[in-house]
Parts: sequence; structure tokens; C-alpha cells
Amino acid sequence: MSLFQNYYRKVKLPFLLILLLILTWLIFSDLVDGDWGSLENSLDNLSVFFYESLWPPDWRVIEPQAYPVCTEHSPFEFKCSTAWIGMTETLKIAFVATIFGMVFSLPLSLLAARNLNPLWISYPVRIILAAFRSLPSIIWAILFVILIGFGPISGTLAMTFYTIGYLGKLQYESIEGISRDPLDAADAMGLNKIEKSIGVVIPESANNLISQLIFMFEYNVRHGTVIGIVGAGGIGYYINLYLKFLQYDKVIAYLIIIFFTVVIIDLISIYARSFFTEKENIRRPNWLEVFIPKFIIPKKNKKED
Amino acid sequence: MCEKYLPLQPNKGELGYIPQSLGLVRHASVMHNVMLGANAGHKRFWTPFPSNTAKKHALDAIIAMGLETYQYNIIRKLSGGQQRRVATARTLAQQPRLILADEFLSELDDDTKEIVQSKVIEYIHKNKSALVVVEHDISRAKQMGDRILLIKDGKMKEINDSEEE
Repeated sequence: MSLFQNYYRKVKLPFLLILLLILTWLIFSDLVDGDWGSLENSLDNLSVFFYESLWPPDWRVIEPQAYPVCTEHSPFEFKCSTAWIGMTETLKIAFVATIFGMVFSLPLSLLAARNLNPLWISYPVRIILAAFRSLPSIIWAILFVILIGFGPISGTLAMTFYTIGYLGKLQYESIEGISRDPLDAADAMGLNKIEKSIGVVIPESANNLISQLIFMFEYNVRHGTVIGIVGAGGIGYYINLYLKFLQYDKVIAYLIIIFFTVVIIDLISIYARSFFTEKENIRRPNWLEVFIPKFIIPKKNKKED
Repeated sequence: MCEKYLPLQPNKGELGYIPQSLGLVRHASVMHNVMLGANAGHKRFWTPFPSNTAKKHALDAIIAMGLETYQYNIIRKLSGGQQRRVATARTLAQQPRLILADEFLSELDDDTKEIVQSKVIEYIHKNKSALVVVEHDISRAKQMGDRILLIKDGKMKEINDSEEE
């Protein structure tokens, strides 16, 4: 029995958890540095801010803009609204960035996988991927806004760069997780590295790769709403605009739209990823269950055998 | 016979290998796996559009192993015996000059064992290839091998066909 196990038996896990919480509180106190006064009126402030500035949301954001003149017919006039334009732009940016990111990250992750390449190849590529990942997408967005200017191109490039780093890491980890046996068999057959990658590695890890791609799209949609704040396109642009004019009721309307869009994409993503899971005994939700909680759906009467 | 072929380099696609763990691409189809072998054997760069010769060899090997009805099935959905036959088909489609096989007949029922064994032996004779096989069943090893090396208590000795274990 190891020293840790002996020690653990004596002190028990709850004690360690309490210790951890006390330690966390001490660190927090150190951060606050005695300035607890700023927290005193926070709840009152929140209440005033919520009822006077945020609520009710100003749903004019889903009405057509005055200019340019809306050419859509009823009931599709909402397509001329800033909310629709911003949200669809965010979705487009996320989609393009995810696909572009995958196109670049897949070859890099094949090079970064230690089970396919020697360390002198894999480590430099890992460092490159880490460099892409080390800057959050909003910082990439600021950089591209400076280089290219405002608009969705900067946003797409920013998200693509971040996707390369993030997706690349997920991909090389799942590539490293594949079984050694097919690789040995491919080596014995005399397949070269490219043939091995296309014929063995990608099909063998395809389920994970597709699942990660869907996850990355969902992640990019969530983050795509933020990059607009620095002028890189998408719904964030409008949020930033109304924040500057202190029109918080419009901002909350945008946030509610983002929330529902993200939740829907999240649910679709869970459903889509369930097709690419390794375990076959997982029960896939049906479409109805994706949008409505299971307990609300009426049960079908099963015929007794 | 073996000595003649052992200096072969695996990167020439002339070495066939049926590992005990099979080494199949589990998420791909039977045809994909067998085509990997066929492409390796034809020294052709892997493409989604393989040559007709490679395709023919792959299909011949699949038929020889009795897998024609499963050719587009995913490997992980096949039984252990079927997977073993796919590994053998992959090696036959490769048309190697030397086959290294580690218990390639295990998990098969007796009838299928006979068929797979006879097809592999037929291939060996037809193409003047060599087969090095690891087998626990001595009587079956005697049926297949010209030379049998028995490893017992860490020592290796050659035994004759007539010799009993």
C-alpha cells in the first residue's frame, strides 16, 4: 500500500475537501485585500440595473432596420433585422472558420502525433499548435482587425487561427489514442507515411475527428458572439454598438437570442455527435427529445408480447 | 526457402503480415482494409481511385475468404472469425512473397479453417511464396509446413512430419 493510500485512510477525503475550500477562501481574501466594501451594495445595484436598464428587453432588434429598405416579404421581414443579420453572420463565421481550421489542423496534427512521427518532428509542430492556441480568439480578432480592418474577414481569420490550435490539439491526442496494431500492420505492408495517414490513421480515428469538428463548430458559435465586440463581424458588433449608447435593453435582447441559438446548436451538436460515438450501446435521442425534455413527451403504448 | 526471402525489405510491399491482433482498421469497411493490402502489393500510391488490377486482387481475396456478402460491412461489426478472414484476405490481396502469420486460423470453425488454410496454401504454391506461421496445433502445422520448429521450455528444435510431439 502506498504512502498516499495510508495517509488517505487516516485523514479521509472530506477533511481534505474542507481543507481545499479553506485554502481557496484564504487565497480569495488575499485577492480582495480587505476591500470587502465593494461587494456590499452589489445585490441592490444588480436589482436597480436589471429593472431600470435591462428589463424588459427591447425586441425592436428583431424588427427590420429602417435603412437599407427591407425587400423581404411578410412574414420573413425579421431577416432584415440586426439580430438576424448579426446572428447569421456569426454562424457563417463559425462554420467557415471551423472548416478552414480543420483543413490546416488535420495535417499539422498528423505531424504532431508521436505515434506517427519522431520527436524532432512532432514537438516543433506541437509548439506551433500551442502558439496558435495560446492567444484567445478575441486577441486574434484584435490583431486581424488591426491588419485587415473591421468586418467578418478579420473574424473568420481570427477564429480559423484559434481553431487550428485548439482542434489540432484535440486531433493529435485522438490520433495518438488509436491502436498500435493497424499501424504495425501498415508498416509491415510497406505503406509510406502519407498512405498510412490516409488509409489507416484517419479512418481509424474518424469518429473522434468528426465529433471534435462538431464540438469545435459549437465552440466557435459561442466565441463568435464575442469577437464582434472588437469589430470582427457578427452579432457582437451590434452588442458593442448598443453598449456604447447605453441601450442595455437592446443588449439583453441580443443576449437572449444568443442564448437560445447556442442552446439549440448545443442540442443539435449532442445529437449529431451521438452518431460518432465509439460505444454502440448508447441510446441515441430522437429529434423530439433534442428540443423537448424527455418527461414531457407522451410515451408510446407498447404492445405487450 | 525462408532464408532466400528474409532479406526482403518490408517497404517493397512484398512482406505480408497477419498479426494475432489482426491490425485491421476497425472503423472502415472490409473492402477498405483489403484494398490497403492490394495497393501496398501493387506499389501504387494510396488513392481513393485504385487501379483495376488492385481492385481485382482485392475482390478475388475477398471471394476466396468467403466474405463477398460482407465487403462493405464495417470491421467492428463483424465477428472475430470474420475479422480474421479479412486480415488473411488483406494479405492475399497484397500478393506478398513472404507471409508471416501468427495463429491466423484461430477463432475459426473447423470448416472455415480448412477453407482458409487451403486458400493460403494454394496461394503459396501458385506464387512460389513462403509462409512462416506460428501455430499451437501441431497437427495443423504439419499439414501446412515443410519445416516445423518446436519451441519447448525456451529451446527450439526441428521436428519431422512423422515425429510425434
